[in-house]
Amino acid sequence: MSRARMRFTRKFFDPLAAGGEAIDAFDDVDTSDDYDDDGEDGRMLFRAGPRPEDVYVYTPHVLLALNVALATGRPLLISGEPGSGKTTLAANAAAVLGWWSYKQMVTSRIQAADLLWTFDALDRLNDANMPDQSLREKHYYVHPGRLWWAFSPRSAPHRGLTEIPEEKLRASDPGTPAAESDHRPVHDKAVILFDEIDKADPDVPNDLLEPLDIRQFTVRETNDTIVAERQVLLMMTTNGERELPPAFMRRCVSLTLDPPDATWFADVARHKYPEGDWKLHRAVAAEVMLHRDAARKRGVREPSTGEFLDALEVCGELGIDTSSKVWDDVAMSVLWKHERPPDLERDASGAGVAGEDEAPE
Amino acid sequence: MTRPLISLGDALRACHHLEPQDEETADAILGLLRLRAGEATPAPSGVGAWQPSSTESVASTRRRQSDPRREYKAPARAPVPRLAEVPAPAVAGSSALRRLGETRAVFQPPEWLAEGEDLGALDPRRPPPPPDALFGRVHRRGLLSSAIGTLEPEGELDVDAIVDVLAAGRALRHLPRQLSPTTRRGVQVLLDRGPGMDPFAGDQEQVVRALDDILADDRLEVREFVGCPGRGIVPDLAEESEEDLVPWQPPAPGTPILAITDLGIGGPRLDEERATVAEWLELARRLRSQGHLLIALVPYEATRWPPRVARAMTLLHWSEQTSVGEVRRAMRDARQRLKP
Repeated sequence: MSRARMRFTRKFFDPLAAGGEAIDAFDDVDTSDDYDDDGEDGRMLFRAGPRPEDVYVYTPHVLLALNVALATGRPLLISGEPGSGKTTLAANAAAVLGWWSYKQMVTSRIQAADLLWTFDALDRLNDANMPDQSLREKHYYVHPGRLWWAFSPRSAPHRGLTEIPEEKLRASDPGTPAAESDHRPVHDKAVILFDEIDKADPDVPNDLLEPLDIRQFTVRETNDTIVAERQVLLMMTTNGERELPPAFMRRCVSLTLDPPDATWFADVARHKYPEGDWKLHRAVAAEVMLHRDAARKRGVREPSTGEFLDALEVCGELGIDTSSKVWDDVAMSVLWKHERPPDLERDASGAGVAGEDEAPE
Repeated sequence: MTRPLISLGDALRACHHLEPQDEETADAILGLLRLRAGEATPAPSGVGAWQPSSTESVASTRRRQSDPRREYKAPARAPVPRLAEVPAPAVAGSSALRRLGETRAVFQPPEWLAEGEDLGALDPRRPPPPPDALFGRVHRRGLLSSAIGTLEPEGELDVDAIVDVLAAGRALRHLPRQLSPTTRRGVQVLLDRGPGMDPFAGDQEQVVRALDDILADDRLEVREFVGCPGRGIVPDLAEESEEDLVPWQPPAPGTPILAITDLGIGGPRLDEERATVAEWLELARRLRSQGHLLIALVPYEATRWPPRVARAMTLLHWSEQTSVGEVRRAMRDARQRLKP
């Protein structure tokens, strides 16, 4: 599905308009801004920064999903197996939009309220017991959460106070400009990413529904109502390890990233390391797929994009390739990472290149 | 009021702005919004997946209908077919009894008949449908979350405890909080694969699948045993053991154990693999001494439970009538047993 060509107006999310490139599997980079001329499959690349991990290749389906989420004002839920690029997509999408960006890593201990604000009751209690410390207003013990900052960057530094507090008592904005490029960040819009939302207790997504839907919430300790001042795109990633509540799912645009294949890995390497050896990219990609098959049969974690890129780095640093004597040891420690060696099913030609063998033009 | 579920309005808005130029793209938009025809749509909150069957007892129907939390709507009843009365034959002295052969019946087939599948059209090679779920989807999540949840001090501030400390003039070294349920510790599920549990194998699988939906992959451990876990458990494939059974190891401290077993109640009475009361009592003693929390789901009513086992372990009758309240009471009982 994600490789099929989509024809629509990229009204809200357009990597080309943000300075990205239209690409095809093996053609030269095409900077055409006419969609019909965008190579064979309509994919686009955007470099959010100088590092390899700042690059993301958008498939037509991903482009459509982002546009649908922005058109409908619904959160975007990105699912896919670990290592399929969910977090990278979210970060890169924020850079394409050029919006102020917030990220919250979700853990099993987090509650929905923590994403809105926390109240330091212990600090307040300690201040109350200090003989030479006057007790401050409750507001000073309120710490705005990421969603508060995304909603209301004006009230968050003041913790909800109507009078502006002293500089040292103001809260600091944990958001960041979307990109390190010279693309100017747009402060009146924000992107917030809740990474791995499925790690939280099942009640957390449901508890987020009301503030997300009505775009306001009330701080319990101070009774202040915080109203969203700007457009917020909420993106969430899930590894699919835990089923999310149906009521939550039915309020999100759902994007599932395809599991990677050898061509995808090689393509990622080609764009992250454009000066690299394409034959090595494809050979390592084929090895990764062999290890993925073996891991799937064993029921253990499969190597993903991170491991693939690490393997390329090692090959580059050590000056080896997949036919080298040390390759098996490298694969064991960089790709496999499990105790017992994998049972790799190699064909007659060994771990050859999967897909086309011709070099890109 | 929260925003309504994604609907056709969202699809229209998206299509208006994005102007899809072909059917495939328009279909992809519907897919992203989960509005594609035939797409699995989770049941709305508050309505379970349960549907009434002809064997539904009146008592359970009334119980469901009276529960204000359930948006259950009884299906329209088909009109009861009536036999038209045939006048008695005008024969002097004949019996007033109706002759069946002369009866003219106006039989109206019930509405539900049209919804059924023609058995003759079914492919005999097609696998049989899975058994009906014991619990509705929403009900199932609540039941199982209550069964495997642990209480952690992560809730609201425990003001009473704070006041106690401060009133005694002691320093508050940490902030006491109220206990809050969480499932993050996961669960170890022990499935009894003895012959007595054969009729309930499908239900066991449904529980495991439901737990898989609730918990992260690394939080769910499923092991199998025959008779009693104390005899050993079936080794995991990844362990590549040559033994039929390996010693059972309880999970990490704090992780609850959920056993789905008949406690030896079912199955052939002279079966050698049948568990004994002594085995279960020994298991209960061992787990209590190690501080492990165990709850056993038993597919038979409490009247059939071995009395000594029922006193030594926390058992729960596992049926379609099991309620969240019963599960919570059972969990309180289990935690109480662990207290010194």
